[in-house]
Amino acid sequence: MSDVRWILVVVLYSLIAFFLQGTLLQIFLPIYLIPHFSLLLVVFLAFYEVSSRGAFLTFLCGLLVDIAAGGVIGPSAAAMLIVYGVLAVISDRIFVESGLASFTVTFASVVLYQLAYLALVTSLRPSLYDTLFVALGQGFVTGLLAPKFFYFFLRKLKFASRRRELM
Amino acid sequence: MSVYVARKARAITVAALLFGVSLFLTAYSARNPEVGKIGSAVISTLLAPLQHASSSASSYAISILDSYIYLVNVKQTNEALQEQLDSLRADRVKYEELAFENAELKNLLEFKKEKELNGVVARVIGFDSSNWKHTVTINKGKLDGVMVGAPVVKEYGTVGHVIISGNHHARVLLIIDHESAVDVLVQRTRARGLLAGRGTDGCILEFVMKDEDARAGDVVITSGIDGIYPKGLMVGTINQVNNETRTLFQEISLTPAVDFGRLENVFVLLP
Repeated sequence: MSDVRWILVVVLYSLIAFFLQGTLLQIFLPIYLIPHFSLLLVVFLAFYEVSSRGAFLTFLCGLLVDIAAGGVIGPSAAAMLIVYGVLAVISDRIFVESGLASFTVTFASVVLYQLAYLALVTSLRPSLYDTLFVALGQGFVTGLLAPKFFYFFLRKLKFASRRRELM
Repeated sequence: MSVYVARKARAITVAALLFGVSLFLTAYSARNPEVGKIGSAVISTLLAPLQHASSSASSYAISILDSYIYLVNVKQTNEALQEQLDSLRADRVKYEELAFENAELKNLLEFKKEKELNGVVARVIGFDSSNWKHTVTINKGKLDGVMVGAPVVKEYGTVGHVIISGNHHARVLLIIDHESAVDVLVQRTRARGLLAGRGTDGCILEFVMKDEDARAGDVVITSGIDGIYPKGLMVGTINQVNNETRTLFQEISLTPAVDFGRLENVFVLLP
């Protein structure tokens, strides 16, 4: 499947998930019994699409959740990427085809997601927003400078006590 | 490094980068809340028809469910009210019965007082089961002073007399029984006769001479001569008189004053 089709599938899936979670199922079920369909997709991607595409689709999925919520954009995406990252690291050690394993992993993922989301939302108070904003901007710019900086210090100024051995 | 490990490393790197982007977006949209609302409006627009349809359907379903529950409640309430109504109806019948009985007993007591009679009020507790005998059982007996031969009356007429007396009950022979005979007078003319029972047909007045004056509508009372009934108790009213007989006596039929089909409380005269 091409990337565009992947994206379309995720978008369509997310819209259906929002409808089910946000409208239809809420009529009949209490909130704690409504499944998190978007996170289900993320868990699936973490096991079966461990690639940059999988990470991007997770980000997209989270972003759509944030957009649909109509509040701050980003915390769901960030929380889902945490889940995706953790699961991607351990994915080859878990036999997710087992029903019990998939249940346990998904259950733990939902809990992790909710806790991460809560931590992100509650800790980002206005003063922290500013600090984070500055930190991210500063980190990005500084990161861009890093290659040139390393080169300049290493090659031009010979400002190093030892040369790194490439593996 | 294998391809899989490289892919995994790339995936985690991209995830980390996107995590950073997410944090940036979080910080940015927190400072600019209107950014988040634009996307939300787009998604809401996309989902609105579905939400509207499902909302209508669910409202309809809920209204049906509510109506059903309401109907169930209405049914339960209706049943409870019906039970209450039945109970109240039973109470009402009971109170009416008590009122009726009270009035009847009051009349009997007034009758006793007016006539200066000594006696007890008794309740009819049983009727004779055969069509030939006309007796009733009352709930007073020897221990209440009711002896054999005691006359039994209502405030407006003669009922009969006691033929069997137990300790707590007594059997009363009604004046309409074929074996009953009461010495009576036609109140207007004082003509004497013997009242004989004819069962469901009432009574007849026997041994009234043809030259005696007796007409339909005349009231018949006890004469007091038979030694059972005191004098002056109303027995009934003459409804037909036949003078054209081959005997010395007139044929007189009489309607008893008492409705024997509706006897409930009676007054037993004591010596």
